[in-house]
Amino acid sequence: MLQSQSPDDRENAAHHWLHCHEDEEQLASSNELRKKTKEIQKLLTERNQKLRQETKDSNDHDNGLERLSVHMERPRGEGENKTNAMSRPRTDRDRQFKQITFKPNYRSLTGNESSGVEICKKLFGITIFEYSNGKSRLSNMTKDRKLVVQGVLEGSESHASGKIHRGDMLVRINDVSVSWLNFTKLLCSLKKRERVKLTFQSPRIVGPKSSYSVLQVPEADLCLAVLGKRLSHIQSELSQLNCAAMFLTLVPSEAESNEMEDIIYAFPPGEERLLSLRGLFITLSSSLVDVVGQPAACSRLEVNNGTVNVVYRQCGKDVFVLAMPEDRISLGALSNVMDGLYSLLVLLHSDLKRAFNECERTWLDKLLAVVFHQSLGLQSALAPLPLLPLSETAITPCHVVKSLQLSSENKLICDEILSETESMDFDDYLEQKDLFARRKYTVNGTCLFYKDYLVCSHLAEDLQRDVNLYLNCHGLLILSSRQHVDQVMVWQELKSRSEQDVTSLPAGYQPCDSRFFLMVIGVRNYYLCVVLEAGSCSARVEGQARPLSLMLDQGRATLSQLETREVHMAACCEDSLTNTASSVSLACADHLVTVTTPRNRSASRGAHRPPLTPTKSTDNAYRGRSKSRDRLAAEEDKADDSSNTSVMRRQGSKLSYGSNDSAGSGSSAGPPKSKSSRMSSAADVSSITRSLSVMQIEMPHDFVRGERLSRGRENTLFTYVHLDFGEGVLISPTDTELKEVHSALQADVLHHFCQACENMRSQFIAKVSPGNLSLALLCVLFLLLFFECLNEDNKGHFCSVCFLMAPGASDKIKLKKNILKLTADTMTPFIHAGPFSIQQSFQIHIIPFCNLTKEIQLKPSEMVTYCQRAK
Amino acid sequence: MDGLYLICVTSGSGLPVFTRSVGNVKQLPFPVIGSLNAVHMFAANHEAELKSTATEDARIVWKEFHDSLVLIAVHCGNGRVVDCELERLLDRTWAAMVLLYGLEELRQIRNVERFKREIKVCHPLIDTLLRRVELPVFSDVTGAVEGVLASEATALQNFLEAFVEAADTPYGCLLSHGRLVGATAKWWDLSATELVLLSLLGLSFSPCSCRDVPIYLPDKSPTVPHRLMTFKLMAHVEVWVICGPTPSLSQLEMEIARFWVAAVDTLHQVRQIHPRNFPASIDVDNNILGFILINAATHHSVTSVDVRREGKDSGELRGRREALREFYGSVWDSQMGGPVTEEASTDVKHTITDSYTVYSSHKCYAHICGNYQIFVLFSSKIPTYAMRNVCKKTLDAFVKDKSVMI
Repeated sequence: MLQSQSPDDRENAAHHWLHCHEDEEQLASSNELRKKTKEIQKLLTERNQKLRQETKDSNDHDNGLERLSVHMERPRGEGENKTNAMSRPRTDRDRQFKQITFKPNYRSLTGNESSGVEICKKLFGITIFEYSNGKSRLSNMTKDRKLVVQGVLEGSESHASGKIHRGDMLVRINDVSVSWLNFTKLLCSLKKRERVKLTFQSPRIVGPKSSYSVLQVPEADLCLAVLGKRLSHIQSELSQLNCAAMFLTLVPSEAESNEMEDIIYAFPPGEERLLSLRGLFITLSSSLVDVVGQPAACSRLEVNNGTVNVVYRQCGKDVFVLAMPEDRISLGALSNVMDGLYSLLVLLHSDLKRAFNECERTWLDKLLAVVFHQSLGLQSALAPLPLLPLSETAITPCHVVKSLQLSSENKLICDEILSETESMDFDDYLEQKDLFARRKYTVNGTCLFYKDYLVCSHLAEDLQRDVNLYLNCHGLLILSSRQHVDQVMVWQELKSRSEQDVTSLPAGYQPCDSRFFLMVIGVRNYYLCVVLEAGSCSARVEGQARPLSLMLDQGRATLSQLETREVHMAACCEDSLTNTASSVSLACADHLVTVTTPRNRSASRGAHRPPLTPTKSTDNAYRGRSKSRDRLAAEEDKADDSSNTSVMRRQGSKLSYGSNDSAGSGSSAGPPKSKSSRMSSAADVSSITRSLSVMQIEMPHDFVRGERLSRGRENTLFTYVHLDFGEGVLISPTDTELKEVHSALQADVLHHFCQACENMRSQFIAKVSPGNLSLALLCVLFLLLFFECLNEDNKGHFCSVCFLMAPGASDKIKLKKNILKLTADTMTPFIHAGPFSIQQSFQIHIIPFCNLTKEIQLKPSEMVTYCQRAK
Repeated sequence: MDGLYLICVTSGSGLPVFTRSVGNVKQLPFPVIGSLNAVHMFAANHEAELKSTATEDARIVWKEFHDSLVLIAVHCGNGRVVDCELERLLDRTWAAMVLLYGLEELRQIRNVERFKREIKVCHPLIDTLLRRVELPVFSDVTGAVEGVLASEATALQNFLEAFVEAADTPYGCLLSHGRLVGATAKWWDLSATELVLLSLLGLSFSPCSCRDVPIYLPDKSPTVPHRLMTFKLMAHVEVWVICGPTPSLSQLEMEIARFWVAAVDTLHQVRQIHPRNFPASIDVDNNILGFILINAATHHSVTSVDVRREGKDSGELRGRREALREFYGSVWDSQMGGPVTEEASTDVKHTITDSYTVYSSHKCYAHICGNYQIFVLFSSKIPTYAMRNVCKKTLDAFVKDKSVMI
């Protein structure tokens, strides 16, 4: 039984009830007593309503949602319900019928109403949508139309019931089917003082209903903000390439009526060719089980004279297919993209099938547009991003972000600021009624991003990976690295965390029934990502969960704390990003391989203007800081150039200055090297100033994230990669550093390095996985590739070595203790043999390469990059 | 389930022609074959070509030849194969079919039933191709025909030339244990596929004193048949010639005694070289368990897994072969042999020259120097830093030795 209530009364009731135990003195008066009982009564009825609202919500949720899409309508029927075992159980009826009984408000009827619409409005407070201006109501067109609720008047019974919404269809009055023809008559025939039963039918709903999510970006368009192009533009670009994303389902062969029935989702919409091959994909993914006992993982096709890689992901009888051209993205990288997308969809919707059924299509389109754009390396319309010489997409999966090392003081400041937010200590801002209520959300953890670097994280590893995944896939990090992101706000429910699979947890453990939400706030170039939990110790949230404006404001306040006068976090971050002097110094490959044509020779000679004085000596051509050189090597090689010998002699004299000088190009001697040193000395004057600071304090080691990069006497570091899959962080030279050493050859070298790493890693994964039976014979411990770079006349060349070591080996070799011994073991093949002179020593850079696979936990394994100069 | 299937179906109608398999795998039922072909045809009908599909453990490769036959290779079980390896297998299978059946008949199959019966002549060779690890040679992966290095080779060359002239043909070669000892210049001119297939054909033959086999050289004359005549000189030593219609087998057989009697002792010595496969004058390090040495220019290779005539049992030798194959595949297919991207902007080529891998029971090293490639299998005892040095010295020893020609 419902009573009519005004909304204000309800508010007051709640408000007062919560405070009534405080206002004890007011209780004394009997007036207040009466008021209180009335309030409690109201509260109870309100709670009743809420309960009904919830059940109605869950009913709606059960019925699922429908996509009204022009091309791909998916009829739901009984048969389909049976085949879709993975979907939630649906009711038999397509749509829900709601029956509400009212006491019509006859007092408002004046008897002058001419149309049923007006009567209805006055009686029940329901406005029915009028298709025409009411005059030609009985035409054939409108005869068949349904009676759709346009609105519900506030303060009326219908509004109070909370069950009638815009879009509902009135189908029966007092169990008599109603249409436009008999609407007015029925209404007029209603007996007064009797309750009227109205039956409504919920429509097919467009848009998500069960969860509330926000993705707010500048210009309200993700594609436009991140990439500078509209969705349609991107889609037309993509349709030129052979790429597609599809979610296909296996349609029983009898239901051949609609050709497009098996496509639940396809992107880009203009893609025809790959879509026409979808039968192939479905068949392969399902029939391969008969042949080899496993579902298909990937395929290669030749389409339009281009090779296309296709990866599959099964989900029951459905399959998610991603296809991209081979010349733009390798198969390994495509698998990474697929993993990323799959994880993201599962994260947000806890199931691939539900993801495609429930999510907003426009959001999905834009997300895929951004992902495809990034993966395929299309050019963004906005300020072109610096061309990374490393194709990092190959190595780094989607849940990995770059991390930035700050000094310990700055890090402490960030930590403090984040901790303040996490403590949720904002009593001053709470409204009275909330002050003593259970908090709505608790903060599970926060993390801070500056531009596209992770600065500080207080999240658990897996949550951090999820956050990284979300930000990467949506391209939000690209956005923040380029512009201020004050308008960005994200609120998403992380459904896969909310609905954990109970069977995977230890027996007897009952997980709290809590829901997790991700909130991302952008201010200037920062992102503050907060993971909130509703449930466990905070109040449970049912139905749609909206972000608290309080939390949003708090988040913004937090970020603004980073920019106060005392704390210039942005400046500090910029400094660590651009200041290349204090970090590991890189070298450019071009300087090593000098082109010994006469023209260049003269040029290089001419460039030898700044005299190499001991104090102003540039760092060696490779910009590696080095200890004093071994002169034996130099003397062995005969210089064919007089100026060479002068240089070397000069360096020889420098040696007498003592051990603590950063000698000039003191690495392995030879004409090319010194020439290149001259070239470099002219080329980058900045290194001179840098070397000044370096000169005094000879820091023999570089530190990368607390790990020492041990160096020897002569080496050249081209690049390094520290990839921690577990935490989802990547350490590599910053963009500025890379830009300084960028050249075509450098890009080539690094590209090969990346490819080699990828190859080696995949071989390791294949071999070290436990299912591999022939392991006993062929367990790979070390894998090394030695590149040699030759120029035309074999005069100048250098070698780079890429080296991967499996984790088990570290135990045997006691890596931590005997780093040098290990390096000697592995690298001295290249010392003692062949064209390399005997006395050269090598610098090894050992970078931990953490590798956490799903099945096995591997201890850190090492990846060594090493460069050595040879004659 | 660990094995390899090779399925051949006709292109238009999808009728299965034959299915060869190796390994402990069950027979593929007809519907499965049909579905495999169906997906390929479906793609072809939509102007796409399905090249390969992989699952976690298995890989399937399709290839269509001359719009007439479709070959499908299915590899399942552990062991990582890359697409190009299986594609090579399919190419060789096609070449094998051309070798023994002729291109014209393959291109236009009139009567499928008759074709099915007649193509059975290729089955032994195809089975040999599929055996892979069981083979005593590595030709199928390296693409280079294997030989023995013998200092007596020059002496025997004269005998061979004389014999071949008597047979009125420029193609002739001398084999010991299935490996080339010497061959005429024209024989070396044959393409790599032909050389490899012919040597594998030898492995697929059952032993007999002489035979006359019609073959079509896949690259030189795919439509005109020649006759391959093989004669057994002594156990494990054979001489082969490829002739036209004359002379006949019996005629040439009678000539053998005349030409080859004088060479018996030399042939004995050459036969002794197996299984070391290179002369005693070349010394190799004690730690080397086996090696593959390839001259990419001439498609000639020397391999050995029993360098010191230790008399190991076949299981051990098989293990070494497997290790070498694995190493070769992992290094060559995925890395070194990949297409070298020539950066137009730079004058320098950045290519892989060396690679090593340390396994739990052995170590391997690969080195490329010019046209020569050497893949060496070491025991675990060798210190890692010494591998390169040893490898290079070994390669030098082989290349610089004047008495042998690699």
